[in-house]
Amino acid sequence: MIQQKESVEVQNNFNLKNVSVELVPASERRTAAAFIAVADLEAMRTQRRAIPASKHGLETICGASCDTGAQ
Amino acid sequence: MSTGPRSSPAVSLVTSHGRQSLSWNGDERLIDLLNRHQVPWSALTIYVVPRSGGAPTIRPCLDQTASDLKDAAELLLYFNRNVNPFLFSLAQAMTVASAEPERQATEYFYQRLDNASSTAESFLKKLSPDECRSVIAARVAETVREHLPPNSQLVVGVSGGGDSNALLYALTQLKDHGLTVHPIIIKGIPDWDAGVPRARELCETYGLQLTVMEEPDVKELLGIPRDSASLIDRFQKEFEGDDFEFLGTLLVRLALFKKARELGTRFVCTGLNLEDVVTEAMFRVSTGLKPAPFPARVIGDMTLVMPLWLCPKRIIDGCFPKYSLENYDARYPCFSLGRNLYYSVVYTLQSQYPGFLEQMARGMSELSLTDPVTYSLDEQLGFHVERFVPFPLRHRFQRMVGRS
Repeated sequence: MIQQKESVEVQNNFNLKNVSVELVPASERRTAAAFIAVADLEAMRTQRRAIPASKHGLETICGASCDTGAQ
Repeated sequence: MSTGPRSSPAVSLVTSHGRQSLSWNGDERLIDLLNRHQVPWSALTIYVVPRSGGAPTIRPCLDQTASDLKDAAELLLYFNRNVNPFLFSLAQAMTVASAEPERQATEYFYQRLDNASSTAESFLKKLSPDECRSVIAARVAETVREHLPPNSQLVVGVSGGGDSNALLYALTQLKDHGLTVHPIIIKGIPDWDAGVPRARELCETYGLQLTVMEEPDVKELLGIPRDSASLIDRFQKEFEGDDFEFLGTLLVRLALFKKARELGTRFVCTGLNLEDVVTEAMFRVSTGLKPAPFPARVIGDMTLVMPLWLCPKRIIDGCFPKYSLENYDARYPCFSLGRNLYYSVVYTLQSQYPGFLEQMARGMSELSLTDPVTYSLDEQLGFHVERFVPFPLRHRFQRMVGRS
């Protein structure tokens, strides 16, 4: 069951290139306001863990030929 | 023949994350259209769908306008990698509400990157001088606590500009580390000299005694006769078209070391900020050199500490806006291609991907502190260098200081 669901998702993702989206905001810019303390913003800036190349860090296992997944 | 917008070919950006139509604007070239939408040209392969029908054909046309492409019904801009470069776009940034909207002095983009959800959110925060000062004080305190033992004597190079003001402010806010601060400013070129009154004013504000090193004493650091031609004249004569900053950084270091030896301490610091340390490291890595240690660098018997290494210039400048402006008004242009290149690369990275520069800085700092680069005393030059100095360059330098 699960495998079948995933394959549908993969198929949908494969077709994304034909789906019209707004990758680059073409018109109005969002003007929403957020409420975040300066200390939290600074923690975001200076204490964030480095982002791994693979979501699950698979480069640790597979990365000898290329850590960033070029085949 | 129609040349209006109706005759322009449609432009479709095609990525594996979706497809988007982009519109031409007047007579702009395709490269201008891409820049306007922040689409990286190097990530694209471009195909033209002919008006006459038939299969799309590849076409190099970045320099062409819509009217140059009359034969095209559509341009297909294919991303040549399956990533989504717009994930990090600042166009959708949210503005962070400010407690003191009337006292805003600067602004900075922050980004929250969440690996678990593969999302990025951007925030534009307007900062008051008080907020900037609290940010800088916090970052400086972290670095000092980590890299200086308690009760240290610290010689601090100042220029009288915004950076030194912010640095002195932050160092004097640190009350629980027993730090004693010894500011020093050197003279010898007009923009250094212009900073002296501001540096005096600053040091009075913080209750610090400023040491002013006059030009003859600065010359002596390199063995230049005291009453001979000025530093700037000597430099320009021997290294025409180069930037005095390179010699300046050496002179500042030698002056700080001299003062430190007089005081019996081994700790000195300067105001190198986030962009400065990453630019230096980018230069070094891209030319095959390991990053030089930061934020604490052992040079001979001295340790150079960089307390502002995680502080962006935008936030430093917000601490004392008036001083920053005065500093900018006393600037020479930089002509060295390399210095222009490495700083420009770093500003572009920082502007497009705020928050990434800090990740780079922290990563390169770790690399730099593991099995760090060492510096050895060059007996002929009289100071420490890291690598071999080619003979012709050594000869010119010695000619400049009047010893060859």
